Amino acid sequence: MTDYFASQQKLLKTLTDKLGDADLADDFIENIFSIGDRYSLTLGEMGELCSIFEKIIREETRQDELLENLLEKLGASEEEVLDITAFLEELINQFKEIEVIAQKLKEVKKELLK
Amino acid sequence: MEGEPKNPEKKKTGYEKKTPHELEAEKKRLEKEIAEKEKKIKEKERIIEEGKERIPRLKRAEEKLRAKKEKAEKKLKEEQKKAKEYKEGAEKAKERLKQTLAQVKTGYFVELTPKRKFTDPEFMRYVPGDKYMALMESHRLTDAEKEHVTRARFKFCMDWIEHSPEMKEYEKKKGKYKEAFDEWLAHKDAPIPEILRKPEPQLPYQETPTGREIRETFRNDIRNIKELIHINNYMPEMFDQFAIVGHIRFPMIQDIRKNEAFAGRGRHIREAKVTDFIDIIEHVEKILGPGTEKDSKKYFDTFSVEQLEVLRKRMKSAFDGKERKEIAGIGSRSWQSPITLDLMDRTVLQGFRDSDEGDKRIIVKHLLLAYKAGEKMSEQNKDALRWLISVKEGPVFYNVVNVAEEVSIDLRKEINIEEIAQKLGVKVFSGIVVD
Repeated sequence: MTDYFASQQKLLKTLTDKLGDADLADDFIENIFSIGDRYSLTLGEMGELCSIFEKIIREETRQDELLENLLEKLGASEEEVLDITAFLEELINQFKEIEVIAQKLKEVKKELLK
Repeated sequence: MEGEPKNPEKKKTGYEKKTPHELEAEKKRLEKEIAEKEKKIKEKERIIEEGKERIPRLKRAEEKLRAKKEKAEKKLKEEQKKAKEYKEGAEKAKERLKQTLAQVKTGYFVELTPKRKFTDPEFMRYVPGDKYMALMESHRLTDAEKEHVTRARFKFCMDWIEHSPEMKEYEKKKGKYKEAFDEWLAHKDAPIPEILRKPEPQLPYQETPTGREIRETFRNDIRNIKELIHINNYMPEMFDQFAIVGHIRFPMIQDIRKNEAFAGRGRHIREAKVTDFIDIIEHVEKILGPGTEKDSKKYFDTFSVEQLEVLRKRMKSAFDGKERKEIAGIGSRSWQSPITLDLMDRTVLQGFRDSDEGDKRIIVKHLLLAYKAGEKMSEQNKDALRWLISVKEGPVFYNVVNVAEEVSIDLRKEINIEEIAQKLGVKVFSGIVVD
C-alpha cells in the first residue's frame, strides 16, 4: 500500500514549485482526491494517483505507460479505471495549460521588478 | 680403552646392557610387529584390489542412479506439465462456467438447474450476483435451502479465512505484534521492541488468488445492498470478519447502517470494518483512562515522542486502507480519539467538510494543542494547520481564530496565528484574521 501522505506532500511540493501558487496546487490535489471519493478509492490508492500524477508532471514523459498501469494499482473495476484515466489525462492537460500561464506570469513579474 | 675420557652423557643404544635372553625376546617382539604390519599391508592391498574390482560396479551403480534421476526428473516435468495443463484446464473450465452462467437466462437458471448444483460450492462460487439474487427471491427454494445456497456460495471465503496457511500465519504474527505493542505501551520508558520497528502484519489478501477473489467480490462485484442483506440473514458470521467487511466500500457500509433489514447489526458491521482502527484506539484509551480517552492535552503529556512515532506508524497503515470520507464516518469514538486526530492532514480534513461546526471545532482544537506540544506535533497535523491558515479553502472549512482564544485560555498561553504561520513556513491567508 502506498503511503498516501508522503505522495500527497511530494505532489504538493512539485505543483507549488511549478505553478508558484499554493492555492492552485491545493486545487489540483483536491481534484485528484475528489475522483478518488467518487470511486471509493482508499487513501493508499489515492496515494498511487498522486504519485503517478507527480511523476507525469515532473518527468513530462511516460504518461501513457504510467496511466496504463493504473488497473494493477487500483482496487477499482476496469470500467472505473478507464474513467479515472480519462479524468487524470484531462487534469494533466489543464496543468500543462496553467503551467504555461504561470511561466509567463513569472516572466512578467521579473520584467516589472527590473 | 682406559685412556678414553669417561662420558656419562654418552647416548645408549639400548643393547649394551641387555642379556642374550632379553635380546632374543626383543627380536621376537620385533618379528611379531613386522608380521602384524605385513598383515595390515596385505589387508590394505586386498582392500585396494577389491576396490579396483568395485570401481566398475560403482560406476555401473552411478549410471543406474543417474538414469533413475533422469527418469524421475522427466516424470516430474511431465507431472508439472500435467498440473499446469490441469490448472489451465480448470481455469478455462472456470471461465467457461462463468461465461455460461452469465449467458444463461436468469429464469431458466432458477427453474431448470438441478437443485443439487445450488449447494455445490464450486458451482455457486461462480454464479453472478443477479442470478444468486433471483434464486434468493425464487419460490422454488425453501428458506432452509436458501441458507444452504448462500453457504455454498461463500464457502470459499470462510475456508480461506479459517483454514488457509496464509491467514493462520497472519493471525499468529498479528497476535504477537499486538501483545508486544500492549506491553511496550504500558511501560513508558522501555525501549521499542524489535517487532514494533517492523510494519504491522497486514491481511494477506494480495498474496493468494482466493484472497484477491474475496476482495474483488466484496469490493467490486457486490454492489447490491439486497445481496448483503441475504448474506446477513443466512450467514451473519461473515460480517464479523474484518477480512470480509474490510473490503466493502464505505458508501455500502453507510447503506447497511441505514437499512432496517440489518436489524441493529449496522453498527456492529461498521465496527468490524474499522477493526484495525479500534485495535489501536483501544490501546490508547486504556493508557489515557476512562473519562480522558479523548483528551488531546493528556495524550500529548502522556506519550513520549518515540511512543507517538510507533502509534502513528500503526495508525498510518490503517488510514491507507480507508477512504477519506470514511474517517469522518467511523463513529465519534473512533475519529475523536487523539491518535486518529493526530493523523489528520488537509486531505482527511476535507472529508469532514459536511460535518457540523462542533465536530470541526474538535479537530481544530486538537491541531492547536498539537502545535503547542512542539516536537510532538505530527507532520500530518502540521499540513492540516498550514492548510487551515494559509490556503483559501482553509478558513472556509473553519476559522482557526474561533478556537485559538479558547485554547489560549485553557493552556494559559497565548496562541498567535501569525507566529504559527511563521513557524510552519507559510503566510496567513489574508481573509482569515479579519473578522
